[in-house]
Amino acid sequence: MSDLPSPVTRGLSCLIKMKTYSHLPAALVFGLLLAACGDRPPAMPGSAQLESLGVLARQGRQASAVDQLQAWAERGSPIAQRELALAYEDQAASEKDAAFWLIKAARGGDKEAAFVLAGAYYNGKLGLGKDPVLAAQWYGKAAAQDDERAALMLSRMAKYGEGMPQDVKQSVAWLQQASAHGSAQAMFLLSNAYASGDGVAQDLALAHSWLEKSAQGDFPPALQSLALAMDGSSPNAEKNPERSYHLLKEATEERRMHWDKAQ
Amino acid sequence: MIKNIGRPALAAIAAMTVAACGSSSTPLTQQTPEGSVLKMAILETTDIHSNVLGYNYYALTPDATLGLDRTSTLIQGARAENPNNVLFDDGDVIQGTLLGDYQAQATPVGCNGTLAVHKAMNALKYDGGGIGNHEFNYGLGFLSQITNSDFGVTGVAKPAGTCGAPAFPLVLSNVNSVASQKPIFNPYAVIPKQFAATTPDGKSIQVPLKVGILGFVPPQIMDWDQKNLAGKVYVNGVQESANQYVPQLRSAGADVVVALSHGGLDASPYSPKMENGSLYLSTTGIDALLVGHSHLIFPAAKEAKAPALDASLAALPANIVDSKNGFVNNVPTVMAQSWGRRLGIIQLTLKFTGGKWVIQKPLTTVEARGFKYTDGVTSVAADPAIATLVDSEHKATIAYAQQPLGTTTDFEMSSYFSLAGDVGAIQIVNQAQIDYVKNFIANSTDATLSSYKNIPVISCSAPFKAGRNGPSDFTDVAPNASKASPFSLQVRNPGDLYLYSNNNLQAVKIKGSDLKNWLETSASQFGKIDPNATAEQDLVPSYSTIYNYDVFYAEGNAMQYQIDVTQPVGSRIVNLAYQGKPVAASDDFIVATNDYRAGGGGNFPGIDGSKTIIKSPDASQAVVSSYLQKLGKVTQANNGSGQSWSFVKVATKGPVILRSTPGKLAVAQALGLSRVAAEGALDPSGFSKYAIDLSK
Repeated sequence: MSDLPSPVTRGLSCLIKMKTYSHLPAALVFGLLLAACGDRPPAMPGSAQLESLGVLARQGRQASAVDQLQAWAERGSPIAQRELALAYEDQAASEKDAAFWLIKAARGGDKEAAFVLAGAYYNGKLGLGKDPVLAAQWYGKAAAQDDERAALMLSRMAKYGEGMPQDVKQSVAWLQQASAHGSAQAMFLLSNAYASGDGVAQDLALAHSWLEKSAQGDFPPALQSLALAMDGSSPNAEKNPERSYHLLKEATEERRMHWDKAQ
Repeated sequence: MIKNIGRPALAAIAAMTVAACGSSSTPLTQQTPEGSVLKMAILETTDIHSNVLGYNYYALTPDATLGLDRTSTLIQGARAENPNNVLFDDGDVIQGTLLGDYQAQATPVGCNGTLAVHKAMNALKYDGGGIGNHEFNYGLGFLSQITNSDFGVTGVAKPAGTCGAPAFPLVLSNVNSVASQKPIFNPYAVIPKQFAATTPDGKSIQVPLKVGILGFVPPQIMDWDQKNLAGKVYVNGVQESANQYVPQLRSAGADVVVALSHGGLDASPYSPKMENGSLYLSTTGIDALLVGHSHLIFPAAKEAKAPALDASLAALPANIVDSKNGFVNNVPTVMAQSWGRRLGIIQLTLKFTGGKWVIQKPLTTVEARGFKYTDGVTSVAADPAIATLVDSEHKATIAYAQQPLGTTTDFEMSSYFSLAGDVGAIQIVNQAQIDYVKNFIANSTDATLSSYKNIPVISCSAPFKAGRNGPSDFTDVAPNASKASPFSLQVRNPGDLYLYSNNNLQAVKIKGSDLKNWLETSASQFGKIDPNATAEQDLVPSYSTIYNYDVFYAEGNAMQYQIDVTQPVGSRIVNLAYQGKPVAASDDFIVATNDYRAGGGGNFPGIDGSKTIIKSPDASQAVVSSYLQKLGKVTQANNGSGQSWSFVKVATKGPVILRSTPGKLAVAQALGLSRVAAEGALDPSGFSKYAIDLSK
């Protein structure tokens, strides 16, 4: 931790704050003024409000939004810390700040931060070295809060023994959890596992039902698999050429949305 | 402040709308008697996706299952039933068919033109429209032009003058320009209507009614269209935006407020980042909610033989969402599926109470009406006026599909004998994919990807079109092409070589052991041949999953392998070599493939998304098309003779056959594929049974 910078303490005066935030809704300015002037602790904004600030900071490039997030982050809001980290994440120069706040937020129990931090350790990003054990630990924290993406990653890590002992059965158990919480990608892989009996007893009926569910969740390989299974040439599948054509048409159209979505 | 661009145009439209609907000469100044009743319908289309006509531009055949020309018939019917009506579209209008791509990319419509889909919508007299995520697919410049909107975004300039555009207001309240910090479209609009109402004493009067609309798009556009949008715009949450603008709409006098929300219904806790946040608009003071994006039917379809309610909708909490009757927190809500397949109809009854129009909620009805709404069997007819209106664009798109690509080939690129070793329809795809991936890695600024630059890039692709749907279902690009008489490829031919338009190029990084398993799984397409059997044996017992027969290739045909079909599945690959050396289990390879295979399609061992290193936004078809155009000339010597695989030779006592299109022995002979020995009898499905000599 010693290589991480301490957070910049801005120490802006009440007057500066007042000027900086003059365009903001009165309630927020009031809260920030109290925060800055330290009379008594104002109520922390809700998560949606902080995430909106995150949008203004990250996408809207509003310096004042960064300042506000910084203020709430320093007051200990894990959501503000995470949003601040995400705002810093895009800028290579601010990688260390991003990592610093992400770690704070994840330690503060923020699920999203735990997931993003785990990914940074898994891929060696944000100046954090590749560390599968830490990745698994943080994915575990996110998965414990029902994060389906984290459960999918744990499935992958268990399957290949990354950061944990190789365990194909445990890998399928994570797939089941990820699927139960809505990951269409996990549903597709779970369908594959049931189809081949890899890490779980073979069950073609379950394989098919998870394929259907994955396609309903728009996972592109599932849309394609289902379409090709019902276009008239598969002897054992339900024949429905119109649905097959519509599924592929759907997949074609959504190609542009899904190109970067798979984990 | 609301951006004022489009304001003059808006006023003009408003005047037109009044003129169009105010057929009665009743003066506007007339007082509406307390207790008067007004019945109206709000009509919705969503996710048209450039399906102006029911037509499949890939197959070049009519398609009666979708299209705005049939929706037009539904609209006319609904208007006849509901003389007081407004028609809105919920976005995802301009992209989705070859017609859309043609008008946006191949021959972009100019400022003086109007997109075919907008022409049709103008003719249908839409009252307003929202913006969907796919509107951003062709970039902000194009969107600015075809909507005649100045976005106030740095580097995006609308052509001077008035460009062809929808003749109705477009609204979007949650996308702002980074430069101006203001909405890029008008966040809302008020549409003045003249409607017939009934006074308490039974008289029919004309009354003014102001319908307010505001629009929303999923914040995920920032990811999906990153390269078009990053640094230029930002997307606020739908609820925050509604909370800002609904009161403004009310202040502007809107009697009825309708949200055009291009997003589905999701009951997860609210976040301004959520993709399908429409449910959270229901508590912002709106009167009706038009949703889309998910391409689903809401409320549940009512016609006979209707599809069941989608599971994701059925799972929504019943105390919030009434999926049978179409309400979210008691706000009438409709989603008209996609591609013009349905029309959303919300019928409202309003009573003039205390000097204002009050919606009589118990009288509200909601329907998502499909083509077969009358009896579940009979489809409505297409409105021929739409076809007439866009005839030139439609024909131009078909001509575009058939126009020369600018590339010739000197050989017949076919899949008749792909399972006997011919790579004529596959090698070019592999070469295109290798070229793409090598460039991608060479130009990448990502440190991890750059570190892979010394790993060999190989590629795989399959005979996608090889008998799955009968004896005529084989790829055959450039029949009869020869060195003496090369064939000029058409724009649509990359779609023959690469059948699936839904695939994106992806690359995976694997070990030699993974490659061996991959090839074994591919080789499972072959039947197990018993050399001692005297009865006829099928080399390929079924073509149903032949798209999983991946053929690998390395530049210069440097990868070679053999398949021993006498062995059981899993033990068939022998003599796997790269650059003349046996492939070791620990060797690294980068394989160019597609998102289907890389993500686990076909259930290949270890290929499950975990090894994906490149996720390209580019379609595999486009990759093939670009490469063909770059080559200019495709030759058998360079692009069709790199046979990377063969069978382990074995003499069989009985006949081994491969089913293919009748009359194609000459194709095999021209390729020098001597193992295709003779053409035999027809099977009951019409395939010829070609004799395969595995000792050759």
